[in-house]
Amino acid sequence: MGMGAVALILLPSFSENDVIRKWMDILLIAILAISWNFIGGLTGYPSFAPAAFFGLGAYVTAILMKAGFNFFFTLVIGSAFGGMIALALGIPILRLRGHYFAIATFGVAEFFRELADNLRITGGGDGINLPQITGGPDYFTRFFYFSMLGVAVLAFLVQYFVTRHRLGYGLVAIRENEAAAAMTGIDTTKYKVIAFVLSSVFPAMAGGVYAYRAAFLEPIDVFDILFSIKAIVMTMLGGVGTVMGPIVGAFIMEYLADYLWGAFTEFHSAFLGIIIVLIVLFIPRGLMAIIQELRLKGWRSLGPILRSNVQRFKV
Amino acid sequence: MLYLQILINSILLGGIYACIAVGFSLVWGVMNILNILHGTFLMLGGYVTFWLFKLYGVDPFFSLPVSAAVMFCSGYVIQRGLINKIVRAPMFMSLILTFGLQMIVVRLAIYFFTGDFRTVQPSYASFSLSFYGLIIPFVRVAIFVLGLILTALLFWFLARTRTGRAIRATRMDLDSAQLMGVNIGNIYAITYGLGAAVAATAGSLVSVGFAISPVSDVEFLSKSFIICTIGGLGNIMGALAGGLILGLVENFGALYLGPGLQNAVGYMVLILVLFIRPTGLMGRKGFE
Repeated sequence: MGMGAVALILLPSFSENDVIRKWMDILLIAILAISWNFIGGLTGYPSFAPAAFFGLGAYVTAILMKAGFNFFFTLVIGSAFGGMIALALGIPILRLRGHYFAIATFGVAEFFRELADNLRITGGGDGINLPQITGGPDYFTRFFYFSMLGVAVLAFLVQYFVTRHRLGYGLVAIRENEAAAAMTGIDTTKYKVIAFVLSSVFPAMAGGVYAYRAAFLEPIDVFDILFSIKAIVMTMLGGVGTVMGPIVGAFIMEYLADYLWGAFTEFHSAFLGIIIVLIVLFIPRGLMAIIQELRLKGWRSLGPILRSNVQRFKV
Repeated sequence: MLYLQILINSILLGGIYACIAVGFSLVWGVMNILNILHGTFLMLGGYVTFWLFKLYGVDPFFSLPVSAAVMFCSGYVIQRGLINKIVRAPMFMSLILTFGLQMIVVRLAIYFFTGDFRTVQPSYASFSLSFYGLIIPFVRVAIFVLGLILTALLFWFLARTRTGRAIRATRMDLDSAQLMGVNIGNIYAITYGLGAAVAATAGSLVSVGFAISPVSDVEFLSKSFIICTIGGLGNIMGALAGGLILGLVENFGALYLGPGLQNAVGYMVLILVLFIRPTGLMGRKGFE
């Protein structure tokens, strides 16, 4: 883990700009995946909300920077605002279970997009321009890379500590059996709301970085439900509810998929769909679970492990 | 007069909305699957009608059985071959699986059909009745009536036929149904196929009055979300009520807040209903 962090910090000093940009995308998706993991992975509440808060943060940065505020200041405001909205929405929404919760978060994301499409302050469907960053391409590629890396490291560390803390165990208990968790004295509402807020703060922050880098925002770009879907798929590929899962998933998807299918960019979303289907059918518990079992049992039992990961139901 | 016209428009729209949501509600109610492919079936049904009309000049209303049959078979195969394998896994799995399938199908549809908006334009497309200054387009009325007939047919099927009763029994108590000799795998596949067929027929109807494109499916899907949440699950009357309410809310929202916010009002109602009454207006078990 430490090696990985050092490699990520040193990456810009020996890489071309387009490699750095690629890693920026990986970091962005990793941030969204880690954030989804708080509510979807640890707590077991399937949320489509990351896209909503990503867009929210992006628009806060855009509006404030247009008014002349400092970039880093807008990140703080954006994530605080995202957290507050999540708090206000989370209390009623988290009473819902299962599909109803999923639909509610979907509704929230779409509602935000419709608002951004129609309000004057967001520039409506015409979009909104941000002040351009000054300096050469070498400078601003690195500037945004390190900003994104900062958010990613923050999200990762928070997740790392949460999973080792009372809060994390409480969330997993809620996922496994909410009534039983409440019986053991866990304040389930409070825990769920904290998880929802955590899963909203980091996307909002990443949205701010994304906005400044893009220099132009349209509602359809940032309130794209695909951001949520990608976060979910990466987490599932790596392993739902694990610390490294979201990062491993984001890395594999963004990097390897790019090399394998770079020739068919037109069909990118179809390939993502195929990967989703394959993950659900063959490695529903994610790669990290398989790796962990391999460590325990050795390479020889690869076949049985893979087979035991695939649950089949006779109906 | 304006209010009366909007009221008529809302009711006509509401009938179509009900028809759009009924299949979604059925699949959710029986199998607890949030079927992301639902909007896709609608879209494909619309394209069946469009291509039959464009290539062979088939009247759109005669192509309804074709799109229903095609999508029933596709739905049956998808459920039997894929979704049945994970239907007992945490419910999130089926959601994400249908999402993956949706991405594949929509991408292929864009490739084969292009992203252009299409409308079926039969010779009678512009006919309308008008009296006392009210305008009632003929096609909208036809769609409304057929949509209601379709919904009634589904209701009849579930209430009266042997298969329909098996579907309802499965929904009410899975284990007992199985003990009574119901082949669950088959019933699930039939239910999913039915949902797809009703969706496709609704899509065929929609393609006559409205423009469709491969990405319209998301709009159909989100309408289904809203309607089922308002009306309550797996309940045909609920879908009708939800459809009408959404039609009214959207049209009057557009009148008072401006047409741009029409969809936002729909989502706001969705979130409000979930806050206040998550089971919907008529949320009950069973289909009676």
